[in-house]
Amino acid sequence: MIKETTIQSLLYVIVFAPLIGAIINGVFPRVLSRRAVSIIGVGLPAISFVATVLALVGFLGLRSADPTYTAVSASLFSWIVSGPISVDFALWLDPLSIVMTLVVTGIGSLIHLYSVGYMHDDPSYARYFSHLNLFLFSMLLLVLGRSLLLLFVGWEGVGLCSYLLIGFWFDDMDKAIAGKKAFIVNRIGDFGFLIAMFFLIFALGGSLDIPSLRAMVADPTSIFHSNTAMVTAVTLLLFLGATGKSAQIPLYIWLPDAMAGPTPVSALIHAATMVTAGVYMIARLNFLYVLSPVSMAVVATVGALTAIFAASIGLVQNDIKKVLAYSTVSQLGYMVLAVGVGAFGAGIFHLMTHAFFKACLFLGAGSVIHAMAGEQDIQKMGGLRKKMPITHITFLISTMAIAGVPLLSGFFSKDEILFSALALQHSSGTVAPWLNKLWFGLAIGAALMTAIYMFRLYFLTFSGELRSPDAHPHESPASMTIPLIVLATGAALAGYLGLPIPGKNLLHNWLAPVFAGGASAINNTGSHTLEYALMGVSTVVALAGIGLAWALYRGPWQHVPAKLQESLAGLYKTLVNKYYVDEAYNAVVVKPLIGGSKLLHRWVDAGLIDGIAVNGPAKALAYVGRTARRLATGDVQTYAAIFAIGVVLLVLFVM
Amino acid sequence: MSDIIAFSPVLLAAITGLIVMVLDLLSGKNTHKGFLGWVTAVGLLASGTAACLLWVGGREISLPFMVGMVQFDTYGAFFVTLIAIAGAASSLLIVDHNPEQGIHDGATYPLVAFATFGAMLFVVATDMILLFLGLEIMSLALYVLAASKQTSPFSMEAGVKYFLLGALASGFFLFGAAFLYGATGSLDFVTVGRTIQDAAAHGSGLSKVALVMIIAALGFKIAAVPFHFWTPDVYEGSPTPISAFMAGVVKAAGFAVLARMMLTIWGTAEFSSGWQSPGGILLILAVISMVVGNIMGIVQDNVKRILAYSSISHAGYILLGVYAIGLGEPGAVGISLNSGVPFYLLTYVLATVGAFGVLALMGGQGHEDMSLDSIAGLGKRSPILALILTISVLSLAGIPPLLGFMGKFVLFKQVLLADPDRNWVWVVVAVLNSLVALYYYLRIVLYVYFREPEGEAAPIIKSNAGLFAVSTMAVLVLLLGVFPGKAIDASNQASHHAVLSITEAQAAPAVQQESAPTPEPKQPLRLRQVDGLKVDPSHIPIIRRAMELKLRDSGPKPK
Amino acid sequence: MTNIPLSHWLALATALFAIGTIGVITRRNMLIALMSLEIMLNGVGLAFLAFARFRGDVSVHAAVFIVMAVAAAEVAIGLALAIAMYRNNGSIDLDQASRLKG
Repeated sequence: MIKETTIQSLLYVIVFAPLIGAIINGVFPRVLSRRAVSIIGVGLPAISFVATVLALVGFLGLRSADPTYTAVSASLFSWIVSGPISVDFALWLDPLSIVMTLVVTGIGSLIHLYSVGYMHDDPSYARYFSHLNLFLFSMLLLVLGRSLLLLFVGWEGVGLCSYLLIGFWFDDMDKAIAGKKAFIVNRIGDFGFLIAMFFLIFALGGSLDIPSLRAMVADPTSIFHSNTAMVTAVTLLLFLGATGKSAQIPLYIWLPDAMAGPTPVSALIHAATMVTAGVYMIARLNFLYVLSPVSMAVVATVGALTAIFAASIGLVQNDIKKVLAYSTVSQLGYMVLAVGVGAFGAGIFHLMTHAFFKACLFLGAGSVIHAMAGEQDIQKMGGLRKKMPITHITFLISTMAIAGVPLLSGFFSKDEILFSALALQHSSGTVAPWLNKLWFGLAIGAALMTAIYMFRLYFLTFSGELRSPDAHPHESPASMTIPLIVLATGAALAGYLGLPIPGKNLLHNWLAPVFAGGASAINNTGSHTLEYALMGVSTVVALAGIGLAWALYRGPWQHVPAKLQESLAGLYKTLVNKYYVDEAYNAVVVKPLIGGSKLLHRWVDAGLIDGIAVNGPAKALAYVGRTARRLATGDVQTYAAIFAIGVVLLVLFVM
Repeated sequence: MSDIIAFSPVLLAAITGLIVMVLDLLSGKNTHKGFLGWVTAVGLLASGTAACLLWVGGREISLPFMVGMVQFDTYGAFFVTLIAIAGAASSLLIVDHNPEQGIHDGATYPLVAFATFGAMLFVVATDMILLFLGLEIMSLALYVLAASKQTSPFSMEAGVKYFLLGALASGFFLFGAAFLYGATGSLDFVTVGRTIQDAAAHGSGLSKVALVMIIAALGFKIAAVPFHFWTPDVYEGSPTPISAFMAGVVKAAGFAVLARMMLTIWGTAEFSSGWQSPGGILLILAVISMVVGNIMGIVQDNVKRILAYSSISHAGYILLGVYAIGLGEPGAVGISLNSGVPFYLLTYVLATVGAFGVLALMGGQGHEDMSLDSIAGLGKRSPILALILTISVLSLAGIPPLLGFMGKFVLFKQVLLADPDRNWVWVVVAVLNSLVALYYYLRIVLYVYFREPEGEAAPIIKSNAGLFAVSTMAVLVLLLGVFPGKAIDASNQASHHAVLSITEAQAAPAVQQESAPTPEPKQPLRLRQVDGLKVDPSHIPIIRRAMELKLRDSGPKPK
Repeated sequence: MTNIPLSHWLALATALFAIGTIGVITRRNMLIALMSLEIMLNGVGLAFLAFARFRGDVSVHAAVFIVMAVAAAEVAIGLALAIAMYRNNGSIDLDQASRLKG
């Protein structure tokens, strides 16, 4: 029996072990040998994972002794005490954060191990591990933080690490710029988050401490129930933060570019963990979101649109990592859709299964890129099935899982989301019922496309003959294949934690206390018969997509893609160019901003100040004083003139 | 005697200056003068320590003395300490920077000490003329320091510019003081304030002109738009440790005095009644300062100029805070939880001195150009300096968990609390601005880590003294960012004396006296409504209970 | 002297101050700019004295002396800077001091 105090100590171990790793590798990069760097860099996340498992065991023990037991809290010190705001630096372990922590530390440790092989020849080996450990620390702070402010610190921290790791190979300017883009786009989202926190405290009198906030919201006479407009504003602003971090429309544009970073980074940060932070945050604040049916509908709609939008782009990409990137955006859309319709458990379920199969896919892609000596274009691959058997089989399992092949993990989680999209309705009933049909339609369309583009990727990469004669692919070392095998096992089996049998859904039972507040506001209008019928539908959809992909890229219709490309040239070009969104942003936001500031610079400095504001009044002043012999063109005196003009204007203004 | 004790922090700075001057003369012409930097730093830190000791000893120190011309209280102690730290850091930066730049003259150090002394006198003075003396002691020393690299046309130009404009600003200050004297018949803040706040003098033309003149003069020192034009030029041209000094010490001292003067003299219920009121003017300057500072920062290519525009935009944020202090409840101006301004200045000074400090350590072999290109690749050449620079600029940008984030959080919170109905607009403007500012801060980081120099890279100076100074700043930025509690407490206590109390001066206008420590006024939990979104009054007790609730899900359970 | 109303003294003081300010703004010769600064400060001194006289307050005369002393120190530094400028540029034309800009 593990005592509560022990779990509290374990919490510190979980969070701070990666930080220690980051500090050691960051401070002594030249002192440590490569071997020592690997041991520290992989060992400390592994310690964190073991501590998480122990904490889980302890938590189960406490819960079996007392079924009402909900969370372990550990307060390290009082962080900010200022007026009405009191924030403890406190960690919080409840069923939801346990699931997240297991995913983060478990998959995180595997990816660290994989990195040992993948980054083996990199000159900045220690810096890489230092950043990766720092990322893990921030992510754990995000997941385990008890207050929104601590969550926000983690939120910013993962953003910073992501920026550092995307631009890791900064010798290439494009990559450095991709990092900057990611950071800035995320900051737009963070701005929403920050404003939301301000409103939450000062307009609603809310607490930043999540349990206290939940207690306040639970009171039906509280302001949260009367002031729906403000709650909607707060939740939508928070969602703006989520669209940045979880790459939803309109802020998803950074994620595909973020693939410039090393592949394990893409797997860990841009597939399995960081990008799910937005989904986690909404699920965490489920009790707040359900108070605003409007916000929920917006969340669900954005999620569904993102799912199909990104999937359609994924159909025509040729860079192996870009396909996976758009696939990630699309799958994140599913999760956001789930939490938007009130199926918080389903969202977290898909988050978990996605973490397994997408991490596996990325690491598999990394293995392929490694073997192809850096080649990322799938049109130049093919036939890797025989050369890389382990990579091939794990990749295939994960592809089937994401496509929704029955009895693999993605099948269960995606089905639950499809069902929820159709069947769940907010009890207030204020949102149009046809929206459910729209969401369902978009989601099922996205499911079909997912099956097509994933199997297109698979067929082009692994089957047929190798299309570039110079390449000599080979299987990767054990430190890379072991994580692949573990992750593929997870991708196959993780779905059984959430079997759609009433009362037997382990994950739902486990998470029920966390979502109790949110679930009460959601009505399930569907029956289990409907759920099983939908399973049949989605099986058909998945198999149809796979069949189509086979026919188009392996089977009898291989000439069709080229023809389609010709006859639908306009559509094809739009898709290849990702609907021209980057260009549109460039034209609408970036260029005017830069142009405007340049213009202002030229105008204010050269035109306005030298030309009009200074010389004009200076002339007048000189005339009045009868002392001027020449125009004041010297710089110091220009400044003095502006100073004096400022004073004169202010005097006139106040008089 | 208690006079001397209470004045000791300021005196120590002056004595440091004298000692260093004598040591400079005694040590002869051909010695290396670096040790003088250490002596200056130790002396200034002693002065800061004395201020802290007085604080700790007296808890709520408040000693008006010298015929009521100086008051040393928590507000003064806070800023004296901050100024001492920044001054000491600057003098340590000079130790190896100056010889590398070909400045072998030891006169720099006493000038730094005297400038620090002037800044301290500036902060603790409560009389216009003594205040002016402090201002001039600080400024005169700085004019010379700005031009102290005599071989460089840039340094000379910076000195000339700073001198001409500074002298102009001093003239405006004095003119304002003369008008205030004319309107009220006194030069003492409290008396002036009392008379001005009588209905008769409040609206008088003399006092309004005086208000503008004084805002302009102090606005010059703190680099608020449109009195800011000297800032980028002078920061760029001056030797970098002196830029650090100006950006840190002068800004902190200027704001300390600006806040105190505005609130003591004009701080009444009408402080912000409309745009023409004192608060309205501060608000206008605040908004244009942050907008202009940030927009101009974007188009710069020289790191020192970027930091100069950054300092202008920070002046905007802090002015917003000064405006907010004035909004406090009528009759209780400034007594509330107004830690924002002192705390933000602390965060700003540490980070900006750290950033300029790193640049100072990149001025080897007479190198002057601090363009972005010349700092490119610093990450490879000196990881430690690169890290310190990154921490400093990210703190200026307000990225958690660095100190700058806490500063912005506390300041914006205060602004919002002061008047939630209206101020949310300004908070949104300020947050948007800090978003824009991120662009040029990140540009610095981008060049440091992700670019190779195309031209000549700035040579790095090996300097233990300088490295000690900048790493201390960076460590403080990190540590205080994570554990800001004590610093916020201190700022809070300091802000209690931001406004010189009228009753205190009435009771003892001329005699020195230790006022009995008054208990901190308890701040009631405030709940206000935001436009159109109502708080039902009946909910307030519930919300308040929930706010005070420290929920522990895992509290000890009965077995 | 008491026959002359306060407003006249103030007008003169303000005029001196304004002339000084305009001089600083317009005169390119550093020496003349320095003199203009002096004129500004003389205007300030005059304003102080006029107010003091009409309030019958002698103590402020001390303030005027302090201002004069500080003004002298300021000019000393200004001259030193002018010399440094001459050494660097060969002239004391303020137009020369416009390398730093932007």
